[in-house]
Amino acid sequence: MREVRVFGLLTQVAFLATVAVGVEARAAGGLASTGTGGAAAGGTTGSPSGGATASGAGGGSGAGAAVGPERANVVAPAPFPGLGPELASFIGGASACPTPPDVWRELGTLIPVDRLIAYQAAQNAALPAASSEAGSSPPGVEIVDLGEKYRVIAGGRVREYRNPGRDCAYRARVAAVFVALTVDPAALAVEPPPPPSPSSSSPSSASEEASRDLPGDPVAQVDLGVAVDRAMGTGPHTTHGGAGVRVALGRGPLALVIGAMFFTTASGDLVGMKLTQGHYPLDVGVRVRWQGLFFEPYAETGVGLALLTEQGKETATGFEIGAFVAAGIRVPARSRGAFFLSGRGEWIPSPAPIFALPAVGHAPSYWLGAMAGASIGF
Amino acid sequence: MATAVPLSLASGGCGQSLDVGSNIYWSARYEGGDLGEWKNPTVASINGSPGSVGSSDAGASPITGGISMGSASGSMVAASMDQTYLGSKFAAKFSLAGTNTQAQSQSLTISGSLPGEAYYSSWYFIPSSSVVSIPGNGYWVIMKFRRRDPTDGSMKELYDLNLKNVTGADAGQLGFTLRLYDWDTGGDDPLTPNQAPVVPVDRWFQIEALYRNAADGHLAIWLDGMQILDKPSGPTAHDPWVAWEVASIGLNLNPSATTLYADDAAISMVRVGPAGRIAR
Repeated sequence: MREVRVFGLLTQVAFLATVAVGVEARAAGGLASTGTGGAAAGGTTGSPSGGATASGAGGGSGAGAAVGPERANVVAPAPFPGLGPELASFIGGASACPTPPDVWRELGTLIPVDRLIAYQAAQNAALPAASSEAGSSPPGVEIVDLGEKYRVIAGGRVREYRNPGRDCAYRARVAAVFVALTVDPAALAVEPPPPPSPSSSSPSSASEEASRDLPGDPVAQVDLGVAVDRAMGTGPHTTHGGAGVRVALGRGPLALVIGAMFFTTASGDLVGMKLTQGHYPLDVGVRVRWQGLFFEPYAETGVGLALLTEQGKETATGFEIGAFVAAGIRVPARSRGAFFLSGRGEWIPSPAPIFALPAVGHAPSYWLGAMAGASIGF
Repeated sequence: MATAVPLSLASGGCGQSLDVGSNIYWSARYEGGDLGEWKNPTVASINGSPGSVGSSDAGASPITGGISMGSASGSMVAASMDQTYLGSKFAAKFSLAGTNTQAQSQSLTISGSLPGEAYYSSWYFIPSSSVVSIPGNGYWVIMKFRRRDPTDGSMKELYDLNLKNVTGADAGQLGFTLRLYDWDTGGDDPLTPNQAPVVPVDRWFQIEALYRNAADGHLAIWLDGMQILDKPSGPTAHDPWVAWEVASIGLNLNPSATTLYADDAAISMVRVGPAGRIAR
């Protein structure tokens, strides 16, 4: 679903005026589908097949439009007060779902009326002289109900949408967005839709939008935060505090992740001997993430290489290799700046032996930790 | 080599061990097949009873007639603790004979200005054939501490750890327990909290002693990791000089001949215990 913002007091006033006029027209007991006072919703019809009684280019005023019983109470909104007949037939077509009045109401929330006026005037100016001399102008927009699909025609562009559920309110919003983008793309704080395919009849489903990558998703995420690590299994059981950084590279659900952590040393016991232990892990793996609307949970796994230090009477340093798994959550999702929280486990299959004679043991075989902080997308 | 590197990395520890220093001040494992570790002229000496070759800083090797080396293979000597992880093949063997006529003594001694406080440990093995009767006028000493006389510098007695008989579970079966003989008081000290710890036969056992040579001297003894004696303020040496012996000293034993094995002797700054290791 694209995010649409309403600009300007004028637009909001126009919208409210539309609603008010619609209520008044309804109270008057009928469609105001005349050429002079006709609402832009000129082609309402009760037939789901739609379009059969569309007034077409000649009127768009709903002349000849048959209204079924279920649509009897639908009143096309009157034009804005003070506006001429230029917008009387702005939206034509005999669509029952969505109806032109529905589309008009949605359109009123997206684009200022003056833009509509300017657009319609430009359309009329481009017409052949004969049409203009006839005293009527074709609708700037036409809606066609095709049953499971519906067609929106605006500005010489055609877009056909599939909506088997016949959600008329949803259809009206989608149609209004397409019309608004066609009339004045700059009026909307949203990137224009991709150009239509050459066939212009390829079905598209709004429900597929959510699963696709947004062009704005960052290519890299850098997680910076505080961390805690606990040694388990063999070896001295120590708890370390520190900080870490993780970089996830790639858009979409799969990313390459590289991380490093830096911890303070801590003291522990090895078969009765006191040792000071240090742990500095570095790892590389893959991150699988689920980019929801607000939360972005993820899981990681990979290989770890850690620097290990043990200090008794002397200090010894070594490297250990292991495997890690992690799970975390990023909030909010799809945002360049976010918070994250993660848990991590590391397994060392062959921990290094430690000699602190007369004590002999091994370095820790498991590490459990957590990390939290800020996540920044680039 | 190209294959070896990834394999070593896959080992997890990269094939390396971490040595953070040792608290073992001195040790003797006898794995060279001789008693050379006791031949350090500055700290160790070998003493034998009359008739034996063994003497302080004895040059003869192998030593015959006195303290000899026993092989762990092909004999009744079971594996010492050492053997479980270090592949021990040799132990010191003390053979006494004629204890019914005079005191017989074989000892391995380390002496000098040893650490003011340290743990002295050794493993022992008593074969069942050496289960002897020890009468009231007899003794069988297996560990000693000595001190130096402040007036003339001569070596004096301090503490003896003796084997004493106890009656085993089966009627008439002899066994051993331990007693500490305090040369200052001239009598046996009670062993607390365990008054009569049973010394195993045909199995290696460890005796470890904490000895603090100071005005507030301290002696404590463990048998296989269980504390059997604690003298927190007993008399100690008059000066920093200390002598510690792993020994077999007997008088009036019946039968008069007996055999004792010892292995993995160590002086450590921290307790070794039965699970401790004195070498990598």
